[in-house]
Amino acid sequence: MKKDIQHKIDSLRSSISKVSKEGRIAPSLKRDNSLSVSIRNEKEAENFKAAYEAAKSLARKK
Amino acid sequence: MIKINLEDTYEPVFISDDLTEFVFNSELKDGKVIDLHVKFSNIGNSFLPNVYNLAYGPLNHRGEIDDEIKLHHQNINKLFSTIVFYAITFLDTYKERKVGIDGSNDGRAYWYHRMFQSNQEELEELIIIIGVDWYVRLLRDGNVERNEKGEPLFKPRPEPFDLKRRASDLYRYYLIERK
Repeated sequence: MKKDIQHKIDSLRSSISKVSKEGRIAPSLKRDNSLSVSIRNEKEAENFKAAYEAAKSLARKK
Repeated sequence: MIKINLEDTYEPVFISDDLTEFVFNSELKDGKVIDLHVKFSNIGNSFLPNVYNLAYGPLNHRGEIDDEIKLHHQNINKLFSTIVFYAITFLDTYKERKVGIDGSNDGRAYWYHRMFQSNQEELEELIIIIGVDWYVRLLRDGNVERNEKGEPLFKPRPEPFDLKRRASDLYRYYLIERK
C-alpha cells in the first residue's frame, strides 16, 4: 500500500500546475492554538521537543 | 466508524503552489455540493517553527475557513480519507514539518480521535501519531505550580497515540508527522 500511496502523492504534487489557481486562497485563521500558547520561551520549547522526540521514539517501537 | 481508504479520495479543484491549501467538492446529504478548503497554517510560534495547524471547512461570509460548522456529508469516509491524504502529501513534501490538530475548541476532535483509533494500523505505516495532554506540576509543599497571574501552570505532555484510550477521553491536541 505504501508504494501505491507514494505514487498517488507524487501524482498529486505534479498536478499542481494543472489545477486552477485563481482566487481560492483563504486567509489564515486568527485563533489561539492550544500548543502555541503553552510554549512561551526557549526552555518550555526545549522541554516539549525532548518529550516529543521521546514519544516519537516510543511510537516507532510499537 | 470512519474507514480511511487513501485510494478513494476527492480530486482537488485547487492546490496552492506550496501545498498549504487544497479545495475539493464534497456532496452533502441534501444533495448540495460545496467547496471544502483544507488549510495547513503555521501556528506562528517562533519556538515551534515547524508546527502547522490543520483546518477544514467551507468559507464563511468573511472568506475565512469555518472549521466549526456542522455539516452532514454524504460520504464521511471519503471526506476524511481526502483530508488525511492531503495532510500526508503536505508532510511528505516538508519532512521536517508536523501537522497539529487542536481539539480544544473543535467538536471534530472526536471524529479525528475515532478516525485514528479505527485506522491506526494502516495510518501508522505512513505517519507517526502523537497525542498531547496538559498537566500541572504538584510541588513538594502540596501546592501546584502557578503562572505569574497565580493560575495553575498547565504544561503539554506528548505521548504515542494510545489505541485503548476511549473517545470520551480525548487528547487536547494531536500531532502527526511523516514516517
